[in-house]
Amino acid sequence: MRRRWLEIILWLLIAAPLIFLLRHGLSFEDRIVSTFGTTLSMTCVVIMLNLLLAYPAGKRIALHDGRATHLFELLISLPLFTPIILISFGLYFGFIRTGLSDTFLGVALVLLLPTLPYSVRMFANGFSAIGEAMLEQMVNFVPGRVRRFFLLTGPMLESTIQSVVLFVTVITISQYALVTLVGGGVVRMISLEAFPLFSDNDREAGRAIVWMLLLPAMLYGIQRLLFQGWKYLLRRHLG
Amino acid sequence: MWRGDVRPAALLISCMLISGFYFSLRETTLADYRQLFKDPNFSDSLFLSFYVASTSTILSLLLGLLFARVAAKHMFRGHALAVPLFVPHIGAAYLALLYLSDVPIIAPHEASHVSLILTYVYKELPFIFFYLTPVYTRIDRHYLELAGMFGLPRHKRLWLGEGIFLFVPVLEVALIVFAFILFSYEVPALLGVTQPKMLGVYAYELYTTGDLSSQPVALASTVVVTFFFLFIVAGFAWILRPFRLRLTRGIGR
Repeated sequence: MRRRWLEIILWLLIAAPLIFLLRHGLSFEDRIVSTFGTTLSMTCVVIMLNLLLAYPAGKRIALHDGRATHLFELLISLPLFTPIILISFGLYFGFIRTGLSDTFLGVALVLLLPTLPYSVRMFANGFSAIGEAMLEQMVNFVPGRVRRFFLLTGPMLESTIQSVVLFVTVITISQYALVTLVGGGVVRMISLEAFPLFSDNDREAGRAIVWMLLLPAMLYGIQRLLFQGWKYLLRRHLG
Repeated sequence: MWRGDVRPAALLISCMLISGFYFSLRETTLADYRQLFKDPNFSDSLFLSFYVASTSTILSLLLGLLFARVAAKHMFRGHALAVPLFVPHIGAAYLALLYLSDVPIIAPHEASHVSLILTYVYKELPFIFFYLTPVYTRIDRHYLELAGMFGLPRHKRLWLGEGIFLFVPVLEVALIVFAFILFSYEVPALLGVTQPKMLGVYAYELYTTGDLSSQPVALASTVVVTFFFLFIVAGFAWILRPFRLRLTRGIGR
């Protein structure tokens, strides 16, 4: 009984503010839609880069105990403890030289700074939860690397990949300073629309926020669907 | 190689951090640092940032630990706490603007900064909860029973049965959250007062607004703040090192 009350009170405290927002409705102006497109593609690119880089890194950290691995692990978690916005002032000078300033790719790269450390940690936890013995067993079962990923490792890491996708999405879409500093206003993300509206306390702000809140839920839903399909195919393949 | 590789990720991150730091260092002269240290707004914003970051961290840490403890004993699963994870930080700040604006002392743009702290608790409490719950559930209950068998007083029992195992993860997550709040820009820019500003807002405005001559001062602040905080983190790591080794390898081995 006490437990149920705790749940109900928590739900009210946490979720209620969000429900009232839905009355604002959505707007489909051209500019908002194109910004939304950029945001969506940026988020997808950052998620993909995160998965590609964090998967092997997390695996190595979970399975190795060497001095070099520890050093690299420390390097990867450095952005958690450094002022990334301040670092990006200087980074912009470097990006100008390499032609990455004010480009989509440059923003995608700089967005890895606040996201990649978390992803690597999550993958390391995921792999150590599966355990070295189990991973070795899996190599015996399915020797092909790609096949093994699709048949065993991928589905077993479902919850890890889910949290990575959610975290990366939420962090990516709420970056305003990094995107303006490195994207130079050319790369327009939803936060660039929302931030000025919020700071002026504009009535239109409600619409921007609904978009911002929908995006993580949407990507999370898409990712859930993909996993369902994956597991469905797997079951058919095995059964 | 099926055992993975850390190098690509580490290389990318360190390249970006080093080039950012290098250019900040190169574009500044000693005079810029002197100007930075003479600016009273800089020290004010340092104090404010420490105040906001430490209060929010401590509050969300205490609540997160409490909830994680309850969750580990299977009294509740904490699904509701997952909701703020879906809300971006700017979104959370907007919620504070929307719902707290008419409340007297804790409203946004008040010198008490309570709305700022509440927003961070709303966002970081779930993070801490989901970080610590697996740690809590993994603790072997037998240690607590053993401590009980020896008839130790309650505080000693808790420390030996749970505290020791939580010590390192708690400090780790606290440091992550603390640094995140300390250097953030978006939320304090929306909810903070015009003077004093949080560190991120102070540096960002120094860099973007006004004339180009203040840009080097902003870069100087990068160098100072980065060094300062890395020093703190290195200190923590040094203190925790023996602790960590003993815990992961097992005592006496």
